[in-house]
Amino acid sequence: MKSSNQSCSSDCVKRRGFLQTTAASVTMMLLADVFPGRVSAQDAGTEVPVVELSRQRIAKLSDLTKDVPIEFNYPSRALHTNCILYKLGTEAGGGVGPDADVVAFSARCTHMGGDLSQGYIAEHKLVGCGEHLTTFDLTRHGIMVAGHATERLPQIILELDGDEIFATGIVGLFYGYHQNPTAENN
Amino acid sequence: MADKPKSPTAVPLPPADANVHTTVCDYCVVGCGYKVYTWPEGTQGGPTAKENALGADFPVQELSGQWLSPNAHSECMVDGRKHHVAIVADTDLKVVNKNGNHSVRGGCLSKKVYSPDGTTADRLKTPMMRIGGELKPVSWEMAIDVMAQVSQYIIDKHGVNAWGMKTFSYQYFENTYAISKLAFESIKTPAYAPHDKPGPGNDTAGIDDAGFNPFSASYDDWGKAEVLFISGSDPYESKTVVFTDWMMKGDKKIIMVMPRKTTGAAWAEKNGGLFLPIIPGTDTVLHLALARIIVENGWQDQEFIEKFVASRWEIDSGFGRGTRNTPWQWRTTWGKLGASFEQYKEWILSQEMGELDRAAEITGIDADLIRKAAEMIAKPIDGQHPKTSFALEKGNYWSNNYLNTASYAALAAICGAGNREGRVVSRLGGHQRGWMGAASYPRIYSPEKGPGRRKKEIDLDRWVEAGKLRFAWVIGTTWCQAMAASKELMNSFKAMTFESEHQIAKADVDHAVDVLKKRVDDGGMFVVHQDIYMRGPMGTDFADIVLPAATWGEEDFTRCNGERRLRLYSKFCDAPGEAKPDWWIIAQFAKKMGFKDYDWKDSNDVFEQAARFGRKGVLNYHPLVYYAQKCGKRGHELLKEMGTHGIQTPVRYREALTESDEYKDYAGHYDDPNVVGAIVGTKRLHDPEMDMGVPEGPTLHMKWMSAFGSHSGKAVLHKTPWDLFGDFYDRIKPTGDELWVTCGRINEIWQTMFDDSRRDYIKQRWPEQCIEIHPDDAKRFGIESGDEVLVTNDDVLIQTSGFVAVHSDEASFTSLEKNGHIRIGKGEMKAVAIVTDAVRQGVMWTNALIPGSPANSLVHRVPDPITNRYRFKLGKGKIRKTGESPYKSEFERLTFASRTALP
Repeated sequence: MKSSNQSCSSDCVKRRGFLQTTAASVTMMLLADVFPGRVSAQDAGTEVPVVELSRQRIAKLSDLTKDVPIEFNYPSRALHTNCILYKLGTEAGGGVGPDADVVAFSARCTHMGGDLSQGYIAEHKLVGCGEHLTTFDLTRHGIMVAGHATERLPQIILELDGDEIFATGIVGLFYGYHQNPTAENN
Repeated sequence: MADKPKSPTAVPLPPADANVHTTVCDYCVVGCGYKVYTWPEGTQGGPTAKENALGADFPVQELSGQWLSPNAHSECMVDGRKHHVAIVADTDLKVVNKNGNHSVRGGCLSKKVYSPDGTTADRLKTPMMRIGGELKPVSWEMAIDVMAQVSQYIIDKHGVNAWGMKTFSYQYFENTYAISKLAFESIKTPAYAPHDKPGPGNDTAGIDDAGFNPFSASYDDWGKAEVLFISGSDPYESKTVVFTDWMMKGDKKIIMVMPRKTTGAAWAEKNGGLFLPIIPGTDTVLHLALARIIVENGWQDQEFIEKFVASRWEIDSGFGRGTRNTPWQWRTTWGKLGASFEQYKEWILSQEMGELDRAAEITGIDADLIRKAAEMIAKPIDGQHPKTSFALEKGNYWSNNYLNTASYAALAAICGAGNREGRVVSRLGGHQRGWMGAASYPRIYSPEKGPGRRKKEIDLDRWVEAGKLRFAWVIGTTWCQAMAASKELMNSFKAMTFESEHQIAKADVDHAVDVLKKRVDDGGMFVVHQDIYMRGPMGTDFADIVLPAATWGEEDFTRCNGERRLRLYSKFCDAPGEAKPDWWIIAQFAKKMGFKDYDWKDSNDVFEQAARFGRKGVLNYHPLVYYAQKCGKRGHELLKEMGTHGIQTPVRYREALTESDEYKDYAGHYDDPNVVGAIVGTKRLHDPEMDMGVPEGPTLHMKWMSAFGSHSGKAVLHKTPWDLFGDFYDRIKPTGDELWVTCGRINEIWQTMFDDSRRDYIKQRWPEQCIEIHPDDAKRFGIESGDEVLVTNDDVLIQTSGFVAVHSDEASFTSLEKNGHIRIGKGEMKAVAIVTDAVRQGVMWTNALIPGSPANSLVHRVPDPITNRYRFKLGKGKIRKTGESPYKSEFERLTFASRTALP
């Protein structure tokens, strides 16, 4: 699989410029632009809807341990905004870091909102919901592996700036919402 | 990129004044209740409960069931005007799916709705005729005229047996009643087959012969069992909510028997149950071994057996003379099978196949696991027999139909299951129950006969292969891919249609009739395909006429779910173009043919007429129609008031209900205080403790309501000698580089993907047919996950003749082969490989029904001689790598991750 180890590129800057002028708007973007240099050639031309949100510092790359998830809230502390940062140890779609293995996702199951914070299955790089056993593939943009969810697990767009990992937006709609929350209104 | 995922980041909410309808999911047997909201384009509701029709404050709470996910929203047309549509599980429901629980299929229902600008825009909209090799729009009048004229010609010249239908058996009472009225009452043709088998009749004859109605249980019984023995199915994968809302609840041990481990099986193992990884086709041997252990240890439920299991005299009584023309009579009385408990015990202790070590060798299951399973289902704890229920589905009865079902029924009966709360025997089901027959199948006209004087239902595929069918009306099914030896069946159709020299050249009724008459006289066939989408190859290549059907949501329809729960599936949007419901199309044709009593004004007319013909069946709703009339209402109208809860059939009318509130609230009831009497549903069949009172009004008290469905009302045990199957099994076992190819359902996919292939979300998950292979086999053939593979079988056995048997052993496979009734054909399927230890070594597993790459292509077309049912699960093939799929190197579509990993 193709990927590069670059941190924030000029593309990111371009996206941030976009963000500053149109806060919290939704746009269709190519995956190659959402995760610059971090998607396979096959996926590069895929269009996904993206909500560009505030840039929020999540963690230091050097603090992460493989298979030890870190919880955080994004883009605010509103209901269901709990998210999880994973260092998978395996290259993943949208992954940042030298091994492109650091990803983040919503911690609410898109079936019925079950809590995924204890659901990481390290052996398979999945996260699963204890309520009805739905599982999502963390290496593949949160695609459902088995279960009942009607949406992929929303992926948090990450950027790496030196050793700092930032969240900058969401691909998908958080469970429970009719439109994604923003930092501004919470 | 062919497929662009669209996962919107916002979803419009229905305004407080949106139209609200109730319906039931169109898909699996569970039949979850849903609410449908439609509202005009350009309007939308707000995020507070007062501002939206959902009555929900957004963001909604977790597990509230109130979330409207983007895939639950779409667009539709209502009275010619574009509307939004949102379809969400009914959060008020306390039966079936509770608190808004749903499957991925049901959760995406909105995306099946016809939208002129959406992915469903390619719905069939007008009748079409193949003119000069191309399907061109024609009027309904013209299409029906050609069909009627050629049909009359065929019936007059070639006989009713040459005029056939292949249709869904489940797509609503109104339609199946019309279909069966035409086929069995008006035309009286025996050339009919439902979508999933080559002819009419029992699916699980061994269960029926034992006296167990295959849908006698309620979901509550699965919930109340202490042990569940599930054969040939993981309900988590294929009837999701019955598992997540009923089976997963409580302190319960679940045993699953399948060649492939699935999510539900993994959960069962983790929670004190067992997974028995069986070699395909050997379930009977497992059942014999379990029964033998139970009998050897005296763990059988003797009290139940003495009270509810038939003695030798009770088996024989009433059947000693006469024609024995019905299959269930001869099967149970020909001495070889039916047995009292003592005879059964003696027989089972003498069976080599039932010896534990031998059974372990044949089934591939560790002896220790078999012993543990026997203990779990039968060994008394503190003198009490465990409350064990028995559930089965196609892995059981589509591999060795009669012996598997009969041996399973016997095992269940000696464990005391079948008629008590939490101790039941039932199918789990595939599709919902929507057959309402207008008349009996005219078996007397069938060209098939078993040994002795026993007429059998037709094997319609063999009839096609023999060149006997001149007209085929195919409704709502992909005939070739759904039946065995698919590729060979396609070849038969192709030769009789596509390759005929007689082809319609102009849009003229007289010309078309003339050409088609010449074709059928020349050994060809006239095909009509009626569906909601263009389906290949039947519609795209073979059909001369294609008719557009209206479906779910476009007409008021009714049917029952897997616990006989009857509900109204409300109309909420427009059908595309000139598409019409199937009952309407049948009626136009019947009237053109001069048949009487097809003057239905709407679907309720059909529903009410059909009620009178279902009175003796388990789906009897006649008392509901009777009561509706007393209330001054129409049948559909009263049922609509009962919403997603509905009522469990058989419906009973009583002057005063004496059932407990708990019973009434579960089974459903309707009591109009201004009208004498009330109606109530029936929760469980065969229940001797059921409070029925005396029959009142139109209520019929059938024997099987409070006793078993056998002649004596007691359960009948059957011996199941392996030699009835062994010769065929030995012939089809993979050899050399061959592996078993077995198939099943995938949770995310419904049937042939006719809707799913128009859902971006599902297409992204399953962009192509896949096949699972064990790592050891994969290594042997140099295959990795993501490789493109071709699976071929050059040894597909096909029964071509042998319609009439005289002597008792004539129907055996050995005799069929010896007498020249078997030919060898070919089959193949393409797929993307998934390497996983979820499947047994030596077995490959694939989705049953991907029309572009049908697994059935690799399956032998030799039906069970006792029941005429195919062994769909027992295909075989050689696998080889042909390339690498794009999914091997991308992160977007498909995933090769384990489906058995649990959080």
